[in-house]
Amino acid sequence: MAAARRRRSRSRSRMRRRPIRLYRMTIATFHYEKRTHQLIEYEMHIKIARRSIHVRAVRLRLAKLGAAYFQRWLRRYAKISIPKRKLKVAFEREAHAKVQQQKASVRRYVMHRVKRRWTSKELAPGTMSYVRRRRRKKKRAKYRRKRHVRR
Amino acid sequence: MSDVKAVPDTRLLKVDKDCLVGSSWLKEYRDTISLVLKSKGLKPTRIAVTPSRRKGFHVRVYLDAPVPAARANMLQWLLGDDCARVDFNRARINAGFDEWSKLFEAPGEG
Repeated sequence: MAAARRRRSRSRSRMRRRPIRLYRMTIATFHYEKRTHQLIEYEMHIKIARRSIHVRAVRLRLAKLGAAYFQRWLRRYAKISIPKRKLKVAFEREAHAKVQQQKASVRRYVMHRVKRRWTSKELAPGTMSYVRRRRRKKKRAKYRRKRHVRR
Repeated sequence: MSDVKAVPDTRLLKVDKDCLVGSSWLKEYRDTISLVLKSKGLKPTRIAVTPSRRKGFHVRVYLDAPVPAARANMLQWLLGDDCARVDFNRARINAGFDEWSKLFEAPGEG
């Protein structure tokens, strides 16, 4: 018991030593709207602070989750489906952060060409969950049975 | 237009140069940055040059005083930033995006 406790506390202290970094990712895609004969760029800026020594692993997970999230949002917002190969995913240099986050903040922009210039419009921001949702534990059968006992 | 947020001033200029050059040219470029900034009443405190993800360099210029975002974008253009990037940055600043200047690294790096 004592050894297990020691091991647990050691792993906790190791976790505390790991740095928290702020990851910033941008996902963008171009789309040609036939109805208006216009080229549109959709971009999404995702930001999250995570505690990890493996920067590459966090980046890859973010890219995977972010691409699916972006596709889902585009399907809902603009009614277009774009394959993953047409998405541009890019990362900026990490910065220091103090507190780890469970959800990433998402800012969305749409770009149009107006008079040979790009003009941007901000859309409603959102959040993207990075960690998996925990399943609720089912109550044990005997407790459930007890509740239904008639007196 | 009133709903557009004000973008904060910045002390950092980020320039993307999509061309690989030798160290002597980079030294010349550093001198040119100092001259251009001096002509605008500014002074660089530090100039950092790092390789970019595909080709060329990323240049980060730290200024002695903060400048408005639109002016910073103009300075980046004067220092030879990628023109498409300047256009996108201008659109982002007009939309009120505070992290308008972006320099990307490869996904697997870090």
